[in-house]
Amino acid sequence: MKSIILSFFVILTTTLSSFAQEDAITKYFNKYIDDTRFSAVYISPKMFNMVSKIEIKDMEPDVQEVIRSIKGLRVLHTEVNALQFYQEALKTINTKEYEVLLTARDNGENVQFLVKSSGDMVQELLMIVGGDKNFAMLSFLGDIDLKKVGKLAKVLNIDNLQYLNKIEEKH
Amino acid sequence: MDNKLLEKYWNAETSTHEEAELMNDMASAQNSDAAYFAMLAEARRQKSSLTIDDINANNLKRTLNASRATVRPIYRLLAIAASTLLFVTSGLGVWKYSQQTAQSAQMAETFDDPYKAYQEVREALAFVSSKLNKSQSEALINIQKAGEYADMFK
Repeated sequence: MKSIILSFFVILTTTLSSFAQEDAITKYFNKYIDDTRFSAVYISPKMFNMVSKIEIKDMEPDVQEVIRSIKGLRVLHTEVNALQFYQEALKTINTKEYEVLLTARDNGENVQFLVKSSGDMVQELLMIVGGDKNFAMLSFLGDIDLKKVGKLAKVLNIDNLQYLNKIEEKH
Repeated sequence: MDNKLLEKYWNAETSTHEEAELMNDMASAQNSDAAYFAMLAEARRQKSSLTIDDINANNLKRTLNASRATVRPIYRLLAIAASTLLFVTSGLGVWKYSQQTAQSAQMAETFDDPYKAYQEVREALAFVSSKLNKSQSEALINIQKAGEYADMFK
């Protein structure tokens, strides 16, 4: 009888705790998506499905393969109080969900790569960049192969250092 | 009917033989005392017809009833707890689903054109890829430096 009662408590606790774990990053994006200090990009799984179906000339096979594996992209960027927002974002991350992949400093900016994985597959790649001038958070959802993503820098001949400035101008 | 014997009986002074005699007399009598003795005679008759198996069966029945009386309320409580748990989890599930729907509704699609979306993804991937490679290189350099420092202390 005691074991039955104990089982009930275990089920209750597990169920409630699983419901309590919310997607903190989604909450963070939603918090600032309408904030005028931020520029935001959201590409839904539906749009990714459309992108993977369209015929684009000169689309590199490696890029096509990676795009097909991605199901969503969220980008948040600001130049206002960048360091403060960077620290806030780091505090928001649920360390039970995300695993730190890499931490580095690049041109005076802190860069953190975090992953949410299930087994060998990376379900979410989250990059957080924070410095005096820029704060950016990029979240890729899907079944992501990090090796393939790493190879894209050579394949894509884009001035990627200007990417954040471009976001600011476009949105 | 012997009234003296009856009085002796009510005073609890009769012997077994006298009591049997009195009961025999009362069997043919028609009064309130006779009704009492008839009831007593019937009770004795029934008691004498009970076997040891009947008594054991009766005891077992009592034990089972007693155990049921203690177990039943616990099962009832467990049933209530299970129903409450089901109700609460269902409610939370509906609430969470509505929250997620609201969240996805908040995030509006940035691009209507898949070609523009493709360009954005391409640039984002290039940016992430570049940062990933640089971070990896830096991590390797740091590991090498850590190795060199470790060698210095050997």
